[in-house]
Amino acid sequence: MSNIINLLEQLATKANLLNEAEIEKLIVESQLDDTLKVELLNKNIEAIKEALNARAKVFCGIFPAEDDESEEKEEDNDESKESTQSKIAANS
Amino acid sequence: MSGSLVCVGSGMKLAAHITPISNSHIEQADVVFSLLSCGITEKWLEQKHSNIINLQDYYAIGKSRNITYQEMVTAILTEVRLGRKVVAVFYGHPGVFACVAHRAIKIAIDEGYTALMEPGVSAADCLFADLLIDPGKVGIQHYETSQFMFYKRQLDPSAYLVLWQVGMAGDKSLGKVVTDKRYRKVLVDLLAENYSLDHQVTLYEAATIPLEPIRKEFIALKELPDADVSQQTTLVIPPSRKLEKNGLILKYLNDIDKRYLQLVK
Repeated sequence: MSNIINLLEQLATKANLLNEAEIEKLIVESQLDDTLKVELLNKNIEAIKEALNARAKVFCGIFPAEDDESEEKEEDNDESKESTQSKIAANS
Repeated sequence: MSGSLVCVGSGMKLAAHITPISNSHIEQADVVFSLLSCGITEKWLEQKHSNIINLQDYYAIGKSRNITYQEMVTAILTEVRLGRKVVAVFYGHPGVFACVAHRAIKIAIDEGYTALMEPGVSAADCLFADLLIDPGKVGIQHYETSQFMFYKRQLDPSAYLVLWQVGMAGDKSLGKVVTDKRYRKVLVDLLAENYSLDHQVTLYEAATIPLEPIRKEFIALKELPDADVSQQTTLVIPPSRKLEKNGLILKYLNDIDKRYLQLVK
């Protein structure tokens, strides 16, 4: 597993590995097994995930359109407004 | 108090976009939480630390994401309160279109713990580079797509408009993974107030691992409902109008310049 990750890390961080010929050379000369080399050369991302036993589906949203926290605060404010109005009404 | 929290960004592309200080925080952590956008990047992170808790496990189809986010915040803070040095790694930038890091850091600080955020290369940063857009040229407006639909906004069609999470457009339940074409049709109708239906827009997805291409697909706005969109897709809309000069303000500024020149003379 670490061999594939190390290879991907090299591909992501080495400026001399930007052209197809260099990428191919790195993959072919790596210590990975031949099946995996073929998948890498074919850029078969799903096969690489499978080989790594990586999570196939990940969720990406980390941001809500409407924030529960701010809604709660607004509701709190509304409640406090109402209670203030009630107090004013009761005192008048 | 001995517990601490640092929220860092992994950047978008595996290993290429993380900063040295974020790497160092991960190495020194007692426990690392992760919320990444790719299973392979998760494996990469697993090589950097032996005690990783994956926050992906809190997501579930049909479950409101607001509940999920709250559970993630609670999980992170539980470790901080136990006195541990906690690092939470989020894909991209931990504070851009990402509520969990903001919420967790705020609570940790309120409770007296040391908590901070380290930036990472965001999806927006990649978008500027991959689509060769300079946000300073005519300006740019960023919105979460559903929020843009739910609320009345002042849209400036002379600037770029970037709509994030377009795959979940109009999802009130916060429980859908991707909404269907009916929701995107409503979005197109809304956008048609300022853009022609033939206006060319871009569907963009950053690359998360090497060997993976970026997505840069140009379509007409009217084609959006039938387009293939996912959670990762961002909609980029170029300006439909030219910048319009503000004659009144320019006159005021000219008057100031004239007065200054008279004083100098």
